[in-house]
Formats: sequence, C-alpha cells, structure tokens
Amino acid sequence: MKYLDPVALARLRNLELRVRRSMSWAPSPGRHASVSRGLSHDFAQHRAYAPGDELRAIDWKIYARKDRFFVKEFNEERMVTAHLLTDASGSMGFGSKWDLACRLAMAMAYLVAAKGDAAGLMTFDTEPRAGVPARAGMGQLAAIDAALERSAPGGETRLGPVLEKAASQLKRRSVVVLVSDLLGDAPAVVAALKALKARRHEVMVLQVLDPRERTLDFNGPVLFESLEDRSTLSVDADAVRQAYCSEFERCQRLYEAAFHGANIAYGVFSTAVPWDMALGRFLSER
Amino acid sequence: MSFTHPALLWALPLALVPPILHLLSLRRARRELFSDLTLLRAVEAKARPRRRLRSWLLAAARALLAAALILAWAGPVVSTDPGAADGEAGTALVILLDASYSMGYRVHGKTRFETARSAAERVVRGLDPADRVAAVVFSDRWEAPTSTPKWAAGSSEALEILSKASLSHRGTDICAALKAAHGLLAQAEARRRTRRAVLVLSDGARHGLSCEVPEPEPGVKVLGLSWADAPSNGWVTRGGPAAQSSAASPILEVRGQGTGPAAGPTTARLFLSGVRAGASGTAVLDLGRKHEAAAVLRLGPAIDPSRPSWKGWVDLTPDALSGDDRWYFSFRHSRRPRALVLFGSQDFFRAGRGGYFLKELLGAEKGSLLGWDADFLELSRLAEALLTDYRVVVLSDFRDVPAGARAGLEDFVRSGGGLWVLPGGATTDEAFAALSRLLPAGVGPVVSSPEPFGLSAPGGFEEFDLDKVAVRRYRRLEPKPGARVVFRDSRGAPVLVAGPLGGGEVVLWASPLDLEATNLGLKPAFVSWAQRSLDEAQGQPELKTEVFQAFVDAPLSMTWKEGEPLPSSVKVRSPDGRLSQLYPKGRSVSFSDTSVPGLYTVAEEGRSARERVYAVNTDRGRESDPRRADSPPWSPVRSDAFEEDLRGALFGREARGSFMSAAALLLLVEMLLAFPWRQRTAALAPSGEWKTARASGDGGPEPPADRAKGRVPAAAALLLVLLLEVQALAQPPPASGSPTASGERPSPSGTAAYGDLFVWSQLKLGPDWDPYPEVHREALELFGRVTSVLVWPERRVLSPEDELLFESPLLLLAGASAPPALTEQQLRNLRSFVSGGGMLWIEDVSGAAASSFDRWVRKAFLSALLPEAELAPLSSDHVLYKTFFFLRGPAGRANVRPSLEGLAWGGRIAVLYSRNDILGAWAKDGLGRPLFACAPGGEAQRHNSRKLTLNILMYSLTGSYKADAVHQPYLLEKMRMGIP
Repeated sequence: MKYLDPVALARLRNLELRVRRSMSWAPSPGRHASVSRGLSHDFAQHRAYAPGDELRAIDWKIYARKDRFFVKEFNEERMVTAHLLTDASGSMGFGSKWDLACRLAMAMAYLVAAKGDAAGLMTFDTEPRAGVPARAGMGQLAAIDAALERSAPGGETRLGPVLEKAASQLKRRSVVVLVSDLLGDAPAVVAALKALKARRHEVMVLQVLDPRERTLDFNGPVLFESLEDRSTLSVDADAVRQAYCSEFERCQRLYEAAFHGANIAYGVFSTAVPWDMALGRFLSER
Repeated sequence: MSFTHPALLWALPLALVPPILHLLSLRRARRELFSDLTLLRAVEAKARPRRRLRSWLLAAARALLAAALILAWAGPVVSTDPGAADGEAGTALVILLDASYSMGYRVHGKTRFETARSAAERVVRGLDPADRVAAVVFSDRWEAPTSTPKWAAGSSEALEILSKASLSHRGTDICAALKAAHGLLAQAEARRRTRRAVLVLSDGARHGLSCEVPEPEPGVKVLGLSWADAPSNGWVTRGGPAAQSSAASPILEVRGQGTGPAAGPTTARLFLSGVRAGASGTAVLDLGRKHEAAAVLRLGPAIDPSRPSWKGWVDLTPDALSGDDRWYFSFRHSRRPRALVLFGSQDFFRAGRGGYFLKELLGAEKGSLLGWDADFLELSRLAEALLTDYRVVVLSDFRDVPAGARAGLEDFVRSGGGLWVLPGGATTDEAFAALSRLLPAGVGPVVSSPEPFGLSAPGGFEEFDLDKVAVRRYRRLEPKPGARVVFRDSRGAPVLVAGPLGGGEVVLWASPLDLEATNLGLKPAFVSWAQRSLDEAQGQPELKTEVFQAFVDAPLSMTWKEGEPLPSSVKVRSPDGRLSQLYPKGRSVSFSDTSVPGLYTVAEEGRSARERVYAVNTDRGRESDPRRADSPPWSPVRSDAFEEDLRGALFGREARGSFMSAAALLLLVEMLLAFPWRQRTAALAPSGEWKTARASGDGGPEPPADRAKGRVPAAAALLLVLLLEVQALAQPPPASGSPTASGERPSPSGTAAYGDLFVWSQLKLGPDWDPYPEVHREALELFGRVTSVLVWPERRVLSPEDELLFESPLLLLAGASAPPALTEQQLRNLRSFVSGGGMLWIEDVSGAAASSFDRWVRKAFLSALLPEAELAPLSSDHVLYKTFFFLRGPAGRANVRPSLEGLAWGGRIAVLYSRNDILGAWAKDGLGRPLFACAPGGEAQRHNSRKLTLNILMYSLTGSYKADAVHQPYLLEKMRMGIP
C-alpha cells in the first residue's frame, strides 16, 4: 500500500482511536463498550428480577444467599463505523498537503480497522468523488489505499454542500473524520460540521496546512495563481503579509472556537512536521 | 542661491533613477502557485489604497533624497547680497586688529588678542590672489604699520604684520581705525572689487566706542568679533601715599574697581622693592557689591631714613585681564628739615651762652622742640660736613670765618640752602666785612644800652609779650635792597633781616644770644622766634610728598633748577633691564621709551649722584572696563564660529548642512516607509497562534530569518548621510575664495582619552627632569593592582605652561640640579595648579646632603610659588603616612632627611618635598635588578619606599580622607556582619 507502508504501520503501533460509548450503537458486536445491556464479559450491575426477564439472566448464587431473584446485567460491546471524508480539491495539491492528507486518512482507517470496526472513504471537491463503503476488516485498508491512490487533487472546493450531502447519506451514528485544509468559506464549513454533529455523529477534523499558507512566506511582488480555479492575483507579498497572516489566524481562531464549542475534535497538521507525531498528539489530547 | 561646484548640478537627473527603479521593481513580479486566493484577495483589496500611497511616497522620498544629496555636494550658498555670488573681482578686506591692553583678557588660557590674531591669519591665508587686504594693528594709535594704514602688497606682507603684532599697554580708539579703514575702501583700488569689507577684531568694549563712529560707504560691510562670554574684571585704579601718610608713618592707599558678574572680593598684596611685604602688606578689596573699594597698606620705615622713599607695586589676585591687576608706585616723603649749627668754640654751650639755648632747642638728647633736627659742628671742621644734607646752616658764635668756609657757605646758599647768621659776642667787624657779600644787611657798630630794648611783634607773635624780651646789646643793621626786616626792636631798628642770595636765603640776627646781650633764650617766644628764623632761612619749604608717577608712553621729564648741580648724564634703567644714557639739554632730560609699565630707575651721574624711581602704569581710565558696547557698529562674527559666520557674512551662508539634514530626514522617511514592519509583526504577533498550532501538532514555520537583510544597506546609507552631515556641519569644505580654504581646526585636547583614569603627570623642567624613565610604569602597575584606582599606564610629560597641567591631581617634579629660572607665566600657572587643588611632588634625586636643586627649591622656587606658606616637616602621624599603607616615617633610596617636608595650603599638602629619592628605590636595570642599594635600611627600606609612593599617589587623590575616618563606620559594620 502506498500510504500505509511498514514504516507507517510501525509508527501507528502504539496509537489507538477511542470513541465515546454512545457511538457504539452499531448492531454488530464489536470491541467498543456500549451503553446498551447485552451479552458481553463486561459486568454492569445486578437488578431485581422483573417478570419478563430471561430466566437465564437470574444470578442463582445471590438467590441462594438472599432468597430473592436478581438479574445480572452486562454492558454490550458493539462495532463503530468510521467515514473518512478526504478533501481532494485543487488547494490540497499545494506543497505536500495531498500526500499528508492521504497518509492521515490511511492512518485513521488503519486505527479503525485495527479495532475491528468498519471504515469507509469518500473523496470530494465540489461533489463527492471516489468512495469506498464502510466495512470492517483489514482488507478494507487496501481498498481505501487504492482509492486514494487513484484520486488526485484538482478543482474547486465547496465543503459545505459536500458535508451536507455526506451527512444525509449517513443512516446511523458513526465517526466522521474530515481531512481537509478548510480553506474557503469558513462559516459554511463550520455550519456543515455542526450539522453533522447535531446528528450525533462523532466528528473529527484534521486540517492539513502548508507553512507558507500560514505565513505567506514570499518576498516582494508575486503573481499568485490559484490551484483551484487557476485565477491569478498580483500582490506585494511583503506589503500584505501582515494583513494576510492576521486574517488567516482569525479564521483559525474561528475554527478552533467553533469546533471547541461544538465538541468537535480538531487538529492542525503541518506538512513541515512528521505526521505520526502530530497524529499521536492529536489522538492523545482529544 | 549659488553653488560652489555648479557642475555637479548636471547630476540632478540622477534623482529620477530611484523612482524608476522603484517602479521597475513593482513590475518584476514572479509567478507562484498558491492553494487558495480567497483570503489573499480579500486582504489585498483592503490594503491596496494604502499600499499605493506608500509606494508613491517611497518613490518621492527616494527621488528627493538623491536630489538633496546632489545639491548638498554642489555646495549651496545662500547670500543676501545679490552681487556676492559673482566673486570674479575678488574682495577688498581691511583687517583691524585691536592691540589695546584690554585685549589681554584671557579666556580658557588664551588672550583675546591671540584668538583675534589667529583668526585674522586664517582669514588672510584663505584669500585669493585677486583679493586685496590691509592688515592694521591699532590701539589708540597705529601699532603696525606705524604710519597711515595702507594696502598690503600681498598676503605675505599682511601675515608678517599680524605675526609681529603684540599686545600693547595702550587704550583703544576704534573710531579712528574705522575711519582709516573706510578711507582705504573708498580708494579706486578697492572699488574695483566686488566685495568690500572691514573686519574689526576687537573686544568691542564700550570704552573703545565712546566716540563718533564713522559711517561706511554703501556696499561696505563692517564685521566685528563677538565674544560669547560675559566679561568680568577687577583692577587697581590708583595706588599712592594716603593723605595721612608721612615719613614716620608711611601708608599706601590702594583703590580698586570691578565690573562684571565674576567681580568679587580680591586680595591686594604689597611688594616693596621687589620683595613681598609681610602680614600688613595684604588687604582685601571687595569689588563685588559696590564695584569700588579702597584699602590702606602700611609700608614700614624707609630703607634710607635720610631719603624716605618707597617704591614697589601692589598686586590684585590675578583675573582674566591681568594687565591691570598690578599698580606700580614710587613716592617720597620729605624728611624733617635739618640744620647744621656751626660754632666757634666749645664755650658756646656753657650755660647762659647762646649755644646753650640752641642746644636746648634743637638738642639731640631730648629731641628738637621744633620741626627741625640739627647737628652741631665746630666751624673749623666745616669741610667734613656734607652741606647738601642740610636745609639751613646756622653760623653762630664765630670770631671770624675762614675764606674756604665762606666760599662753601656761599655755594651752599646759592644752590638753595639757607644761612642763619647768629653773631657771637666776640665776632669781629672784620668777620662781618668778610661776610658782607652774603649778608642781607650791612652790619654797623655795636649798640649797647643800659635800658634794654624790647622787640616789636610781627605777624604770628601776637600771643607773646615781646616787650618783656630785653636786648641790651646788638649791632646796627642796614638792610640791603631786597632784604626783609622780620623783627625790629621797640624803637623800630631792624634786628632780624632776611634776604635772598642765589637760590637760597640768608637771615641775620643782630644780637648775640648770650644772656649778657639778650634774655630771648629765656622767653617763651624763643621757640617761635627760632622757628620763624629757620623758616625764613630755608626759603621755599620742601614739598612734603613727591610722587614719581607716569603713564605708559608718557615721557619721564626731569628738570634741574638754577643752582642745582647738573649731572653730566642720566642713566635710565627700564623694567626689562635695558639701560639708556641721556645727556641734559638746557637743564632738563626727557625719556620717552616708557612703553612697558614698571619701575624706571633714573640715576644721575656726576656730583649729585641722586637716584629716582618712576612708577609707570597703564592708564586705567577706561581700558580696564571690559563690558561690551550695547550695539557695536558692525555685524557680529562669533568668535567660537568665526569661519562659519565670516563666510556667511562675506560670501553667503553655507547651506550644505541644511541640505544634508533634509537628506537625512528623507532617508529616515524612506526607511520608515520601506521598513518591513508587517513582516516583523506577522512573525511576532501571532505568538498565541503558533502556540495553538504547535499544541495541535503543527510546529509552524519559524519566522523568516533573512528578512532584515534588506535593512542593512538602508542603515549603512543613513550612517553615511549622518557622517557626511556631521562633516558638513563641523568642517565645511572650503568654498572658492572662502577664508576657510586653509582654515585650521584646533586639535582635540586629548584629555577625553584618559577618562577618569589617574594619569602620572611629570614636569619637564631642567636638564635632569627624568632621572628614572621607567619608574612610573611599575609604580602605576602596582598602584592599579593593589588599589581600586584605575590608572593610565603611561605618563604625561608637561611643561609649566601646559594647560593639561590641570587635568591631573598630581604633578611630579624631579631633579638633581637647579633648573633655569621660571618665567612669570610659568610660575602663575604652577601657582594656579597648587592653589587650585593640585599637588606638586618635588623629588630631589641627588641623594646628597646639599644640592643645587635643593637650594633652588627652597630659595627660588617655593618662595616665588607660594610665598605665603612655609616649607615644614611632616610629623610622623601625618595622614600621608597612612593614606593607604601604614608607615612610620619617610623612606627612599637614601636617608638624607628624617622627614618629608610639605607646604600646607588650604588644609592640605599642596607641595610635597622629598629629599630621600623615593623614585630611586624603584629604579631597575635591564635585567630587572634594583639599580641602587637602599641605605641604610636595605630591602625593607625599598619596600617602604614603594609603599610611600603609593601613599603619595593616594593622598593626591583622597587628601585627608583617612584622617577624617568617614569610612570607619562602614568598615566596622562590615566587620560586624562577618564579611571577609
């Protein structure tokens, strides 16, 4: 696999993706603890017997001691479904952002699959493009890797409509991992992600950035050409740097505040930093 | 506005290069791919108007900066005179250099005359060949050239006049000088020049401008020096005998005057015959409040009581104008008149005889009852007497007078002396006949009467009852024509007749004074009678006080009366030691070379051999008042910015500094506009965001490190402009024809390099001033090592005139033999040093019990340096022995004296004198071994010598600090706290 080589696997060995118990609602049994009572080895509580309870649930040892019927309940363990939404717009082709996004997506898919959960992939720009339906099993990783390898960044981005469309396709609560640079209409992106969250999905946002996007590290007069729509803009980089940087940071603060308020896990990944280190820090802090 | 280098203006189009480059750089954008332009486009739309404005401002600033630099280099000159820009016909300049003695006013150790002269020389050196110059040195007359002012043949002639000029002792007449200068500039030769100017190099004091100032012709500029300081001066206006002064109690009255803010109490010191008078010879004149003060100084008895004269001078405490701080005086009080009583025999003094009464009257033992002293001498010994010492000769009780005595008496009388003839009872008719040529009356036979005659009272004898005076025997007198009858008897016959003879008077009394002849000697009227007779005999009374005084350049005239012995010649010794011999013409002599104030000694050669001393002073009438005139008739040229002001006045104001300032300002604006403020803030401002990014795994890029690279050339350019500006303001490049073409700038004093470091200063005086050339290095090294004093490792060698003397608290004077005599200026400098807080360490390195250096120090040097103080041994508990090291006594290479000696001044040792060769203990040979053995104490003595050296250095810095013990509480506290 292109984006999950042995070196990457070795780096992911000590990482783990934890989801909240409320997320483990999938009907299939899995490894994630659930708030539902069911069959498992995870003892939950004793409860007084009520008519209708299965007789096999009665704890006969307690009956022998107390001469009353008590039912023994266990926490049910269920499977999680994760959907990896990867931005494949033209802006992701700046620097090594696309490569980083693919590696992050594959890493998350691996972490999901490693727990026996189901992982699926969807790449998008203005519309959803390539997709791999969510399935459990390590074999799914190869399919996702192949899909990513086939994809290439290009075209414009309309993150809001794409996320709305993706949300509408998700029938059950699941983990939604968005890998994108979030460049574009920030309020629309925040609104779409909040809508996803409102549907009780667990949302994780992995923002991929190149350092030059943050600092505008260009000198003198520059004719910029957009990777999305190929439009151009002539500016004096030195002259607008301060304003650009402050505006960029304002957007970042907007994302941070909005995601924090909506309980959306949010991490910024720079192409200048090793992805596994940044991912480990992200997973441990969320 | 004109330009010194107009060709450089062709470079002005280059000012367009920066904006062109600026515009080109805007179009030279490179293409870059970027992820998303949404944000960038929004930012650019917002910043575009400001960016464009900044861009245009930047281009304008750069263009103006380049233009300002080009204009500055072209040497802009702003002139108010439209014709001055074209200087092709040159300049006609008359330089008037004031050499009056008020120009001796000293500022920072330099007289105004020296400052003015050096300024004039700079001006002359800076003139073009096409210029004409006339250098005139004036006071209240033409000093140089001595005839009418004229144009100099060239700069060299003007320079020669200026270089030979010297300060005179005369007053100022600026108006006459200005009139002559205007006359020169009105000549056709001057009119051909474009510029005509008069440069008055004077102090501008009001006393020089109290005349009618002539108006210059149109087009003639009158420029004059303007001094920045507010002058103050105190001077002696008069010094001479007080009204109550007499030969017995001579008193000198000194009057002083002061002006200016710094005038205050000053001390008048009396010097008699070149020697400083004692305690009574000092008085304080308070010139501060009323600006006038007087004091009296008691002079003490005359050296020669027979000639009670005093001569000397009074010095005030030296101030900025020292020429009028000294007043020379010379005067003579008349001594008591003296009479010589000649008598025929010793019987004359027996009781009842005339001599008895005369001796009681004029006698030596009890003192004279008259205002006369008298000597008594036998007539036969007349040849032994020096008649010139007497006013009157009393010829009494004589039988006859030898011919030689008669001739001598006649000469005496004819030369102005008085003769009082008191005949005795034995005086013969022959004797009277022999004296008849001298006597004012013919002498007749003796008239005797059993009834004595009384005397009739002349004026002044009303209170006496002269009728009781009985004259029993007398000779009949017949007064000669021209004779005066002073006393008559009661019948009207003359008994006392006086008459002139040559230059003198002869008085004849008709009767013997013996009781047999008259009882006059017993009567109260006898004293008055004798006084009247002596007064009649002395004729014109001698002047009580005679003041020998003149002003500078006024001739000294001496005239001898008829009958006075005429000297064959007269020798005049000037204060500078010159000797002039003059020969009387028509009984008078005139000496006119009195250009220097001082005491002029006039000695008569020949029979009289008299000597007189004349005091010649500068005229203090107006010249000593240094206050400036309120509105001098010239445009001011500041003395501290002479070249700049003069160039501005003559050729126009140099505007290079203004252009350079504008360039610097524009460069600053350019830097502010071009400074990458935003880059910097972008890198620094979002620190919180970097933190956020790093916290989430994105380390973020480091701020660009090479952003400041572009600022380096701009900073270098600013530095360059500032340097050029400083250069332009401080030392403007010479303009064509400008007097600054060869202007000299004073070299820095060099003291700044020393900072607060202690500098070993050594006086270069005498042939062996530096016996141990290397000692100071080791001593300073040790001094800096063991104390906390910061030292300069090398020494400073100074001459007594050097101004740097006052930069160090300690001055070392070493020697083994007597150096040459110091000049007045050198002594004054050294005196200012030691009295102003400096310490002079004198080291006699001879190591001998007696040396010429020691004699010079004690007898010549210290008595002249600080005559008020005396050299005294320092006790063993003196603070100098514990200033740093604790010592029990002096040390040195030798042990010539058991103690150091010091001259105390103001509670400290101002002059330290060591004879033990302390420095010799330091001296080493080339291998580092001691050069001399220390005797008798050996190495311990050497060690103590080193310690003593350091103590001396420390004492010069701290004084009695150790004795004051102000540091003790601190040390005790430190010990209590256990600080090691």
